[in-house]
Amino acid sequence: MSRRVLIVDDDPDIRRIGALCLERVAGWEVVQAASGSECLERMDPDFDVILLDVMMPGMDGPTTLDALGRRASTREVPVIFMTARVQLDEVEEYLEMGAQGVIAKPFDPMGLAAEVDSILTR
Amino acid sequence: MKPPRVPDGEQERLADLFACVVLDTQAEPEFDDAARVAAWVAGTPIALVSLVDGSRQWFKARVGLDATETPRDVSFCGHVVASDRTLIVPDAHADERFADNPLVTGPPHVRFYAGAALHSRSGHVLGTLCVIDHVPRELDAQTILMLEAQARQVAGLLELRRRVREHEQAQGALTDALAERDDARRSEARWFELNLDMLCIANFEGMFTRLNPAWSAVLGYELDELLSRPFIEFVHPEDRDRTNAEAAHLGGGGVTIEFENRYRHKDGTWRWLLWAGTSDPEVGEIYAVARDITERKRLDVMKDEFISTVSHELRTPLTSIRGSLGLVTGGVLGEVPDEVRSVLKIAEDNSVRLGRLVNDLLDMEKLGAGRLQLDRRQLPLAELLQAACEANAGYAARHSATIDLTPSPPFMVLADRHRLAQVLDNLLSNACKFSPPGGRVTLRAEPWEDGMIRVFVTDEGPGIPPEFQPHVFDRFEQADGSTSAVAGGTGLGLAIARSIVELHGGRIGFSSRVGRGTTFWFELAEERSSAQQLGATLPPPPPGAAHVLVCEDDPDVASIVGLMVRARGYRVTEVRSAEEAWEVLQAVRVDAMTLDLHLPGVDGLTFLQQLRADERFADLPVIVVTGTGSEGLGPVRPSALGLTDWLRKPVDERRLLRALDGVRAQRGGATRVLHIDDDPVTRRVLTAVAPGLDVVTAATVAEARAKLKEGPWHGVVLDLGLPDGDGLDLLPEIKSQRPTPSVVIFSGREVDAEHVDGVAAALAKSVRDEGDVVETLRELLGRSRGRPPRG
Repeated sequence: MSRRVLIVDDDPDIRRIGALCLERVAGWEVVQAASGSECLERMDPDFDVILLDVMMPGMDGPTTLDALGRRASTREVPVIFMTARVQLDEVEEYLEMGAQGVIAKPFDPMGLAAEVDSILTR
Repeated sequence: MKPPRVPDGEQERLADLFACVVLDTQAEPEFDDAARVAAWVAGTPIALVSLVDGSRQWFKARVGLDATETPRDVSFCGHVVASDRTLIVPDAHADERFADNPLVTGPPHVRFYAGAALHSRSGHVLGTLCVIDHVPRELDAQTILMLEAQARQVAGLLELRRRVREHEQAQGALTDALAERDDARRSEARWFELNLDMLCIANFEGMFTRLNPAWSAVLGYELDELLSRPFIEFVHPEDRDRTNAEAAHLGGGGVTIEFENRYRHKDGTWRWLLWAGTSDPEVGEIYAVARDITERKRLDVMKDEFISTVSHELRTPLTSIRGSLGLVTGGVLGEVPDEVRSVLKIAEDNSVRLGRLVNDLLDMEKLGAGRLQLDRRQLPLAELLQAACEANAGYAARHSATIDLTPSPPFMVLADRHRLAQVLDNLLSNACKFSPPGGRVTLRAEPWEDGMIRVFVTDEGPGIPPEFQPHVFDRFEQADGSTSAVAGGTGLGLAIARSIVELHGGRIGFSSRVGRGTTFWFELAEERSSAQQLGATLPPPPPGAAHVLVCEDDPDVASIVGLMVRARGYRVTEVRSAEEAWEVLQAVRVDAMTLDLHLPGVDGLTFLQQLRADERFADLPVIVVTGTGSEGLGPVRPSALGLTDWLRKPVDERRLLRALDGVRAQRGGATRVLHIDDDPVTRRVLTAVAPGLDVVTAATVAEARAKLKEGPWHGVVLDLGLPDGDGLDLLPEIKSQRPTPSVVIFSGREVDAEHVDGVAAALAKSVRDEGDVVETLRELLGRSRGRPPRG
């Protein structure tokens, strides 16, 4: 199933790699954003999922998630956190914030799309 | 001549004599006067106060004689000592005992002798008051009586002397002891003053009574300021409840170790203190030592931040490296020459390994610092083993190996799901790594000794060389460099696995034969839930017990939940479907129900909505017990369905019972028992052995009076000897309570319950324990209380 994905990360390398993984391996459509505010700008209800970095300068992941939840137009789009901080208690915190799931960095490049799929369908 | 006999109890007699400290002392007027009076009364030229020691008689006073002592075996007085009777010898020449005595045949030429015994306080004869003449004589009875009376006076003088001496000795010892104590106090005070730790003594009223200067140094207050207010006022508001609880624990005879709380510094900042303490309930004092650990706490936080940051900073570039390499070697960016791909594959594998190393280092750090918190729950082991097999199947396939799971009995273990998975992943991936192509890895669990379950992971690999075996669990140890490169491990996996298993209270080990394979094993304690343990001997629920309906299609889960609830003193009905549940609800009263959402036929959620639509069941407390979290509800919020709680399987027993107890308490169905006893241990034990009963305690008659006013009470357990009165005095007030509580006396004093009006049973502490009391109480309450009142 083809998906339309917004990937948000302040690290341009990770954005590009993440986009390549989803485009080339799964054939998905990927839009990139470099910050929380850019995410809000580029956001529209037609995205199937947002992959959101947690630690970003300015608006961080949780703040961005909160802002997305306040907009009726974007509230229904699932958000998956992508983060290097994946201690168990942290993961639980992310889920309580309302994230649909968490993907740990470094991720498996060839398996990233499958991981996103499994989170969205569970 | 007949020498005097040595009397019985000579040792004690001599001890009495020596205690007077009179032998070989100077003459004293009191004794001289006594001798003079005796000579005058008897009309003799010689009178003596003679004291007989082991070998001689020595004269404390003498009239008409120059000698100061003579040998005991020729003494007349020795005979008085031996016979304990007044001795009268009218004519020594005519007496065969004395006729050839040198004192008779030579100087002082004794012809007449009369001696009266000098008795010590304990009745031994110390010597005599005697009179002697050189011519034969008789004494009339009155004179003898006067001589004996005079002897008693002398004995009195000796006794007085002994007492004075004894008193002086005691005084001396006391003075020594006082001096010693003063010394001890001075050195104690020095230790107290100089100690860098904060030392304190507090009373049970919550005030410090003594503090050392370290308090002032750490908290910035003058000692007087700290002594003038209850110590709790200096404690951080968030820590006060914990602190009061700890102080109560100490006051009850407990010991404090490793308690931490925050105290206010005069500048308004907070200081973390680490406490150790003990108490003396007799004196009503708490003795404690505190140490300022603020700096240590701050460093801990900094270290956490540092590690967290480093791990983030390492993982971010690793994400790019691994992603880039993975895309190239995965071929999605176009064809790559084989040689290039194989080299890039090496880089990719190592980036994966580096990522794992970061994770393992973080775990190792946490384990080393003892800060890895286990989230232990009751879990079905078979399910965990199954999950581990599935999770490692892909890895096994890459190493051309397969994992076989041998079915095992349905053990329950108390474990941290993720950490246990980590151990299993480690052992399984190791086994796969070292398997020959087509090799088989088997995973199985067996009951072991001492209530442990042993989990085995067996491979068909090359085995561990004997010389390496002692180092298998060491950090950064691999059998050799080449193995390490092939295996791609971090060298920390087994060390972490061992730490995790040990944190669970188990052991880990292995057996291996070169060329034949290796079996790693670890042990976990089998968790027999209290429900399972009690299952066999569970008493029937008391007649008034609240009724819980368990609606669950899986018979195993139903029986476990049923047992847990039954063990808590509830009545339980189990049903397998919503339809059956509906029938039960129509037929009998149900106080609460547990509901599985995945039911055959009508599903749980639909059933719940039906219930809420029926006004009879709109308020029925329902606890959902199901396999998924409440997100399964979709848009419906749990609170909208009036749910008491939402539990995921496997069932957390404590949480389930807490939810049910909450319902019971809210409905006023809780059985309230007032336990009056001045012994804190009895109070604590009774409360502990009375699950399901709401036990409130009182230590004195006064406290009990106050608590009685907070009724209703269904039962009262009464001790009789209380510090401020007799427990029986409370009976009129207890009897006036409505409803009237059942009274059980539990006391050291034996009481016959039949003879005390208003007492249902009496148990003596010497022969019965708290468990008996609770049993008796439950029996009585079951009889007297019908249904619990509904509130």
